[in-house]
Amino acid sequence: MKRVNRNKVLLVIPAYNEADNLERVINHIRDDFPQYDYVVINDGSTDATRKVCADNNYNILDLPVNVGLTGAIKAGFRYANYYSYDYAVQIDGDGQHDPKYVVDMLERMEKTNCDIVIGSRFVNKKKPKTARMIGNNVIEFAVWMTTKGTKIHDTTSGMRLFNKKMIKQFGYNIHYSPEPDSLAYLINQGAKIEEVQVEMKERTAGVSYLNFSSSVWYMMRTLFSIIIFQWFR
Amino acid sequence: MSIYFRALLICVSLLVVFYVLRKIKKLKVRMEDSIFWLLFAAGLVLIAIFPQIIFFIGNLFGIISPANLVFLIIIALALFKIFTLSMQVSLLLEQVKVLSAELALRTVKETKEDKE
Repeated sequence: MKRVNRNKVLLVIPAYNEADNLERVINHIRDDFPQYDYVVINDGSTDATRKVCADNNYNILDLPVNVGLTGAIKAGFRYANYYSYDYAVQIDGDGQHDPKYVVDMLERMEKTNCDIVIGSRFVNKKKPKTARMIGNNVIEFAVWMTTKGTKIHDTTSGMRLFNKKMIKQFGYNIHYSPEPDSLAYLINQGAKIEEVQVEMKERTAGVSYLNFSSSVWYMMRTLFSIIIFQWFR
Repeated sequence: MSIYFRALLICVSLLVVFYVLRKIKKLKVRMEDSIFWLLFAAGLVLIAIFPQIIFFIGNLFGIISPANLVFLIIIALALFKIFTLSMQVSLLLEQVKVLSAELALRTVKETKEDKE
């Protein structure tokens, strides 16, 4: 399955039980954005995700066991590094993120020469007042507090563009996960992070990675990491 | 609880914190897995500084020696950790089985395709 490296941008699409969404998402990418390469990371799905990919002849990295979002992204970044892509974009497999914004993100990265561009929901839009956004605000405050006042409007956005240096770090370091705590750490390490306004859709089918108890654990893990571990890792 | 016992609890907790943070730095443990140990150490420090907590719980359950209650709490937490570790090991064993099966399957598929 050696592929010729036509382009330098790879869309990394983690998919856990996304059989109902995947065709819509990938066909959209394949038909409307043929300039980007993509790879679906099947994170040990128990539904027909693998079959959907095989039937449609999608480019898939098929993980045999479920390793979670972080592990799936890590696999995708290793793929990007292996086939020497210059940029990797993390995009959800549920169709929340529209690839039409990737061009804005790439432009911003090339213009500002930054390391990460976040596809952000709240650069010039207000956050809605939901439970999830309260958590989002708490994390944003923690990042702001520990990075000498660096403002990131959407720390939990799952749509991010990474340059080559970041691809290597996220692919090969145990402590790097595509989560807000790594953003705070990277800012303190001198990495430049930019944000571009995007719209996100609600998911139309399938289940999210996050439920209530895992959200509590997520908050705890993230805050511990930003407030304490950041200074020792 | 004697002042010496309380001092011992604090010293040991600080050592634990130092050790865990060093292992994080050396990439030997994931950050999320060390949260338990830091909270554990923080709990011991809390008990050492405010032994009233232990006296209160001891009275509630009729435990005469506060030190015994401290041991009981430590043992209970340690058992809890052993069980969660045991669960994780089960999961890992299962994943290794799936991984080796999948690896074998995919190797067979590849060699078959090569022959054709």
